[in-house]
This record gives sequence, C-alpha cells and structure tokens, in this order.
Amino acid sequence: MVRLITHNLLACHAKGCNSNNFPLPFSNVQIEIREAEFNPEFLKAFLPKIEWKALVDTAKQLGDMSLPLEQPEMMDDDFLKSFHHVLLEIHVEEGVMTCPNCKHEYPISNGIPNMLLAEHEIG
Amino acid sequence: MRSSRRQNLIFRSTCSSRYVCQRSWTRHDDGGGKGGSTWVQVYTGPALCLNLLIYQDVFKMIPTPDLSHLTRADYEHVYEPAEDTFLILDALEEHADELKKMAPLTCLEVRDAYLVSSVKYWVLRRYIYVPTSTRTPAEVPLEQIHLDVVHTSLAHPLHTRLKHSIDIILFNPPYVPTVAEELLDAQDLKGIEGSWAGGQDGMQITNKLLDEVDVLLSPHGRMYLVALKENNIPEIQLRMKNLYNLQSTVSFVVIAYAVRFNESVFSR
Repeated sequence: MVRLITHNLLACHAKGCNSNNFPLPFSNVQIEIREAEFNPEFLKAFLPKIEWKALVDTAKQLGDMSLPLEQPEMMDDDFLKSFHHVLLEIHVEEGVMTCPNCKHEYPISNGIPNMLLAEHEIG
Repeated sequence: MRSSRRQNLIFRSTCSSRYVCQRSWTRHDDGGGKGGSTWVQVYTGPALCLNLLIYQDVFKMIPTPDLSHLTRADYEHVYEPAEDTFLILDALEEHADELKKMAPLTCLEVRDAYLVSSVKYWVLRRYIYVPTSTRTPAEVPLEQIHLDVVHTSLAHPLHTRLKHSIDIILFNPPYVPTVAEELLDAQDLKGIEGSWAGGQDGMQITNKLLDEVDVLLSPHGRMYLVALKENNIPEIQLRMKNLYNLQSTVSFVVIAYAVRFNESVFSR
C-alpha cells in the first residue's frame, strides 16, 4: 500500500538529515496495479499538495511515462486519468526506499513502509 | 443499533483482557459527568503504526464496524473496537456537519504498531476500525478509500511534506496510568499491553504526540484525542492553549478536540 500519493508525502527523518531528503527513490520493487475509483474532485483538490517533479520522476522510475513534465494549467480528462492512475493505482508491495542525502534505507514489506529509526538515528 | 453492538463489544473485551475491561468500565463510570474521562485518539509506541487516510468524502455516514471477518483467535491479540472507539465515532458523528464543511483532504490516525508487526492489521474504514486477520493489507477491500499505512514513530517522516497540512488527527493513546516499567515492557514486547499502558499519569506517549500537533495541523485542522480523567484533561487543555494557542473542548461524555479557531490565530 505504498502508493505514490503516500510516497510523495514521506521524507527521510534520520538525525541531522534536513536537506535533499525527499523524495526517497525506490529500488528492488515489486509492484501491483489495483484499480481505484476515479474521483476528479478529489484529484483536483489534492493536486496542490503534490510535489509534481517528485511524482513524475518516481513514476518514470517505476516505468510510467504518462505524466507531463510540467503540471498542466488545464486539467482535462486524459490528464486526470493519468494522474489518478499514477497517484492511486500503483502499489509498491516490496522494495526499499533510500534517502538521497544520508543513504538511510527504509524497507517496504507487505506493502507497508518501515520508517522506524534506531535509537541513535532519531533526531 | 449501535448500543446493542457496544454491549457485545464490551462483553468480548471482558473475555479477552482484564485491563481492557477495566478501561472500559473506568470510562463507563465517568460517563455522563461533565468533562468526564477523555478525549480522543492518537496512539502509541516507540514504534507507531500510523494510518494515513486521505479521503474527501469520509463523513457521509459512519456505519457500525463490521467485525464479521474476526475469528475467536483474533480477539486474543487485537484490541477490537470498544468503548473508546465508539467515543470517537460518536464525536465524529456529532461534528459531522462541521467536518463536512471543512472538506478534509488529509487525515491522520496514529495507532499501535504491534498490530502491524504481528501481521494483525487494523484499518480505519470511514473512520471505523476494522481489525483483520488477513495476511496482507491487499486482502482488505480498501479500494474505495485512499488509506495507506506507514510504520513509524509518531508522525516524523511526514513533518517535511505535511507541515500544517493535516485536517484531522485521531489519537487513541495508551492512556491508562501505569508504573514506568509496565510502559517499557509493553513497548518492548509489542503486545496488546501497548494499547493501554501509558506510564506516569498515562501521558508518556500522549505527550510526545501533543508536541507534534502544532506542526501538523492545517489552519482549520483539529485533533481528536481520547483521555482519561486521570490524565488531567484541564491541564492538557491549558498546556495546549498556552504553548500553541490551540483551543479545545471536552465533548459530551469524553471527547475533547483541539481546534484552531481561525486562520489569523494560525498564521501568526
């Protein structure tokens, strides 16, 4: 259940890691695609909360090239459907997220990311 | 309808754990009193399971939790929906109109981690707890709500991206006062004890999250927290007001909530 909507909200929180700590690139992933209800109103409302470049880059990394590099001004149906698919239907079930700054690795197991830190890593 | 279910649940709690039972009754005894036992939910552990719920139309209705998938064995390990869960449901229902107007986009529930680590798994379905015995979250029919679970400590990995962005926080902490050792043991063992052992004043875990609330809540956001009278609710309210200018209310039996009254207060 690490979907890209959630991935887009997670940053590294290890001690002293305050910059270049988002997004956390995936590696060794297993992906499942699960259909979700299309809700244009939700998508439009949530769009401003999304870090667009992070979403596009992550989708590319997972093999989905459907999103435009720049966030479009006009949100037509085609765009919303691509956005919907990338945001809510791609589930990363297994894998690792690695902080680009401190290289801390956060494993994903059974669809749940483990963001716990050891005692000495807590800021 | 709901009250009959509640009886059922209390009965089950009584069977499964003395402490759970005791907790229910403690609250029960306080029921009806002004400022009674508590408030709301956020929750626990050095390791917290954090349910991130992102759904825009969550308040259409709040059905009674569906527990049909639970087996008897599940009740040994999972703290099933009980009095405190219903308190939250009641509070959310009471505030349904306000919450609908608020059109919450991002909600956060903080819960006990052992549920995840032991493969048992609770999800919040339209603000209903649905403990499941399924082996993977995929088997939970969640497609219609945008809910993801993150295993972490409090909400730390969300601070960067969700600063002042969460509309509703739910926390049902381990709020029962215990000796410090019991709290530490409960957290180490990651067992069901972690769902109630709260250390001194029952506030050791709650206080950690209360320190984060100001950073996370959106300008019109609010937090629902369950607390016992022994947690000293007036002190919690005063502290949150003095430190963060967060207003709070103790709602009917047990619910209090922290609200930012207006944006000017928030955007200081």
